[in-house]
Amino acid sequence: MPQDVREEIVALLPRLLRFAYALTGAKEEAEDVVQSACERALARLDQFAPGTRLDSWMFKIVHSVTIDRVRRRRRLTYMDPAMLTEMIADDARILERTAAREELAVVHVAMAALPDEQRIVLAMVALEGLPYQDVAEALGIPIGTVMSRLSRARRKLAEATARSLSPTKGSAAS
Amino acid sequence: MTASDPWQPTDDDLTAYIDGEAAPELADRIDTLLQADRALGERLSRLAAVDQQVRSAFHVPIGDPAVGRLAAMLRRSGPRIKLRTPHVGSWLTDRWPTAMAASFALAVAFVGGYAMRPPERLATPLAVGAVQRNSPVHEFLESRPTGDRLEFTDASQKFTVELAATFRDRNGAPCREFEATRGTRTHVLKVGVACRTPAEHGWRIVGLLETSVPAADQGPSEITPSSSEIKDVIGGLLAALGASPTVTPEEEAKLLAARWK
Repeated sequence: MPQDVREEIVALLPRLLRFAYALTGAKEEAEDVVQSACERALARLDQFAPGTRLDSWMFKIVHSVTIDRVRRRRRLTYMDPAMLTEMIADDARILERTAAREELAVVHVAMAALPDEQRIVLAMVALEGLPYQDVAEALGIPIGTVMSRLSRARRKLAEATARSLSPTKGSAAS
Repeated sequence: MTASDPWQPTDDDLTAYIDGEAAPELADRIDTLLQADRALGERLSRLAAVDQQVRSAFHVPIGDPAVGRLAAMLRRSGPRIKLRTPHVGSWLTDRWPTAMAASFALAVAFVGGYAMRPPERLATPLAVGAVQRNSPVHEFLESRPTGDRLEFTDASQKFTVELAATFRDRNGAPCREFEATRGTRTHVLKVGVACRTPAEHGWRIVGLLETSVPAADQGPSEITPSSSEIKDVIGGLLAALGASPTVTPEEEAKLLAARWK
């Protein structure tokens, strides 16, 4: 039975927000991005092909909005892990251990340090569980490229967290 | 073939394996190697752990105020806009409204979405990845109708797996939704989907949501995950698969008789 598309987008909001959060590195920025993306989606609803995935379409719009905004003002910056730990402490209330918060901070820094094209692929697959085919179609790249970008992104994050957990850590972010 | 085999998968190979996108031959080769190569298992675990770290780092709770603000903005934006989307009439989706109304405590320990968890695949018969042929779980998926249950004991604990629905993915492959409960079916432990892979002549669990849902307020036939977050994750998995509406009992009976061909 057809539903109001806005309700379907509402159901996607937590996913859209965390996706935008992963792309922008800042929650407030993510909310602005998702709001713009929703407005853009409703204005261009005729471009959505019924029967295809609404979530993929919305992710694509979120990505596009993020790129537009980042082009206008570069907000993806490298932050000091200690500062980030403070910033995300409130988000991470469920994690009480400082070490866990530090690890989250390291992931934030490592994610921000990824090239855009690797970050988007990692967010689409690791965060949102999209199949490679859908990612390839959404980004207009071959599946092999999806795989190699994802592979490099995972390796960089794994290396970053491994360094942060080693006893000789000191310069957690590269 | 194992310790003496010089072949090692590349990071690209492992990435595809983690995401369930590796070709069956490659997945089998990695499966075989994993049984003897501890270093490979650790390498795989480190890469697979990244996904959970990313999910934790960018977690946005369902009740986040931003979700409410954006939802209100969307609902204020003019008349209703209809959009036709495929309906998935599976066991879980059918029961979600009831589940949402239920108010029993929920402790979700899930690793959401459509993620492989290689270390666990070695430890339990219900893990993402290929289901071992001729195992009880394989036979169960292969030969039993929706609603049937399989009981088994693992590490001295009794478990029940119930088949919840049968549907097809976007490529037409039959898939079966199931849930695992513990003991006297008082806790939903795992909710997942297994799909038939013709190339392997068998089943592959393509998504698994781990939960710890006490069902104290529910009767034994009403054990249901009660979290919108679970709904989001399983809904995401079904969407990722391109799930069709569930097949009718008659269609399912034909598929069972034909061994899913």
